[in-house]
Amino acid sequence: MRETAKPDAATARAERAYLARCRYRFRLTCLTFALAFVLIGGRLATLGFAGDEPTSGSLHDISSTVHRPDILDRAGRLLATDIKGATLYADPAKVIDVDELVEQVRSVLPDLNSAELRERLKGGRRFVRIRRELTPKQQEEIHELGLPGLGFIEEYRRVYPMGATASHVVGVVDVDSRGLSGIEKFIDDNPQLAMSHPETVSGDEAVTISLDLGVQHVLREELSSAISTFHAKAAAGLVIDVHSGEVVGLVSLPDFDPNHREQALDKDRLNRLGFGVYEMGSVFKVFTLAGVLDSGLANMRSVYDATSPIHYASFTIEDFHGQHRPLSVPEVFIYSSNIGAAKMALQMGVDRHRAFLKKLGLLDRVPTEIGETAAPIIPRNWQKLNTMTIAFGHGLSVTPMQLATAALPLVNGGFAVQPTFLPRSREEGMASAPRVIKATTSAALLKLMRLNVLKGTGKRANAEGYRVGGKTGTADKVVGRHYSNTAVLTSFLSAFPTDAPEYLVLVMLDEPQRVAASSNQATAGTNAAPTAGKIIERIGPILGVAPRREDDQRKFDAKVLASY
Amino acid sequence: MLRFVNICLVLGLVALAYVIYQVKYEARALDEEIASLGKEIDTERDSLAVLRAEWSLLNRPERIERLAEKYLRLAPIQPRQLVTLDSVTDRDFTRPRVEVAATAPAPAAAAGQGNKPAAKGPAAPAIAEASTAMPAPATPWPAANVTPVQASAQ
Repeated sequence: MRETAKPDAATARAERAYLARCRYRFRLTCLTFALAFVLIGGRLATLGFAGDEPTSGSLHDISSTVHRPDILDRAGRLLATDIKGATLYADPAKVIDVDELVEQVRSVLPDLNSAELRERLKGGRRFVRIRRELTPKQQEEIHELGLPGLGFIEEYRRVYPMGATASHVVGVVDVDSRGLSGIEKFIDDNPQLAMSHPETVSGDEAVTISLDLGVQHVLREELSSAISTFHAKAAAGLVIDVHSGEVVGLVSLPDFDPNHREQALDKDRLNRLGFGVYEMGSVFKVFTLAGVLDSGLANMRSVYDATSPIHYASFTIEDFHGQHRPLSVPEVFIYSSNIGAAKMALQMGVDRHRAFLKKLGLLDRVPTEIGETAAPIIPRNWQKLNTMTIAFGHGLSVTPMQLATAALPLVNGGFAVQPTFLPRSREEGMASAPRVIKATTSAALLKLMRLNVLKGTGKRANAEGYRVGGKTGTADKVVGRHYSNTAVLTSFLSAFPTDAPEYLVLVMLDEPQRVAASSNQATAGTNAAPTAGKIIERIGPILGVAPRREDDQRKFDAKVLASY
Repeated sequence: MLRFVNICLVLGLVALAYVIYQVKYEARALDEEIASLGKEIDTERDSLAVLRAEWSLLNRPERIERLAEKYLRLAPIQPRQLVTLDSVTDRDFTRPRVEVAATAPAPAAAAGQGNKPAAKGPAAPAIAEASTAMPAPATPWPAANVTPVQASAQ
């Protein structure tokens, strides 16, 4: 038994060990399989949850043009927007017969340059852009040709529904939708502008500017009718809110249609208000009078002797509306006396006069969102004679935009408000503006401007009920090296309503002729002033300026006349 | 017992697999719907942009003005046609009005009555009254402005 039991025990032990080994292997196999299943299950789950990646058409991704924000006027009317248009391209590697393709495409697009296209197709590139901005009809016709190697991509195209109406402010973009001028360029330089604006109904980004489309239209229409009535070469008009500095209207004719961007390059169509530099003539007298009144050297009752012309060196300063007698300050203004203005400037002295003009900003460029205005032409050697001529607007050339900016403190109570093309409240505009002249000077200037419309050269600008005040300016243009007798630049600088000014209106006509409509004269009082009057009469209701009933207005005017 | 549990588990597994596939297919269908709706939104947005551009093209002030001259007997507002509520007194409402039909002859009739209070229909009594109260001509409707417009329309 023992003999047999011993080996039995040994086998049993061996068997147990064997079984244990088997169990161990079995478990390992189970674990391996379980792990594999978990792995496969996990992979299945991730695949299931990942979903299908949208298979985007690889060709449409070529379109890389940026989507520009819309441009809206202050009332939310659309001035510029993007619409989608098809661009035709060819992939030369897939083209079977280049000549046939060119011929066929030309049957739809007859103005295509076939020689140049053939050249480009053989150039070895994979992407040849044939034509941008196809019309839907052209796109369909080309599609129906069924030629291999042709394809379309969709690109954004900039359109300006209002055409030329606000062209100088809105500006233009190039073929790749990059802003070249105006607000378009400003948007590119300041991308946060579009982000910070509330989204429009359509969910697109938009930039709102300070222009009012209605005012733009009135300006454009009245100025173009002035051009045809007075046979002028060009005309420009500007309307600025005197407290906020917002430019609500800016038109310079001839202008261009931004939908045809090549027109914008024409030199004759430039924005004369910002980039034309002119000797403005008698409108400058507002600054001379403001200077002499603000410095306390004179008051409304001071008298300047305008009996005889001033002779200085080889020059003679004469009056156009000569009175040949001593004139009071209001008389110097309404008779537009060059002699009187020159004497005022001399009374201030060369340095003080220049410092005053500098303070108003007439000697520096005006920075605006649509670009800095052109640099003024300042006499290199500013002497007594320069002071005398600049007093009545000759010898210092400025841009009309600069003139209007410098005139803002004269009519808004004395604050140098900076003009802007973006919406700004009146509080904001006044808050950032430093005081440059006394409030009393501004009030006196307004009275003088109103007086000039009631009694002086600006009579034809008197829009009923709107209490217009203004100053005319007729400047002889420099032709060659001499002042011309026939070519003049007339302008009218006005503010309304003068008892509580809200808007400044500047109208400028380039070379108006002596026609019957202006009593066979070419002075500002007969052409620029009536144009400004018509403009004010029409924009008053648009801008919400209430006309006064006549008896109220008489009361105000009586006060003005009493000061005279 | 163990067999019963196993059968139950297998059945449950099959049922779960079915449900999962169902949900997955539904999700895929919804995905496709989202994609197609997104595409539709894009097209709608593009055509909206085109329509908005067209709307503003049709609303250009010069076009509206041309159409107004052609079809409407309206002229630009004259300053004396605007009054404030403060300038309207109780007397303007209590004064007897001459009833005139608000049709074409109204301005002519009102003009013929000289300084009598003229009522140009119920729409704008205040304006009509005010214009007589002011030293301006008594016509509530600027007859002189209406005539050329009519002429150009015909």
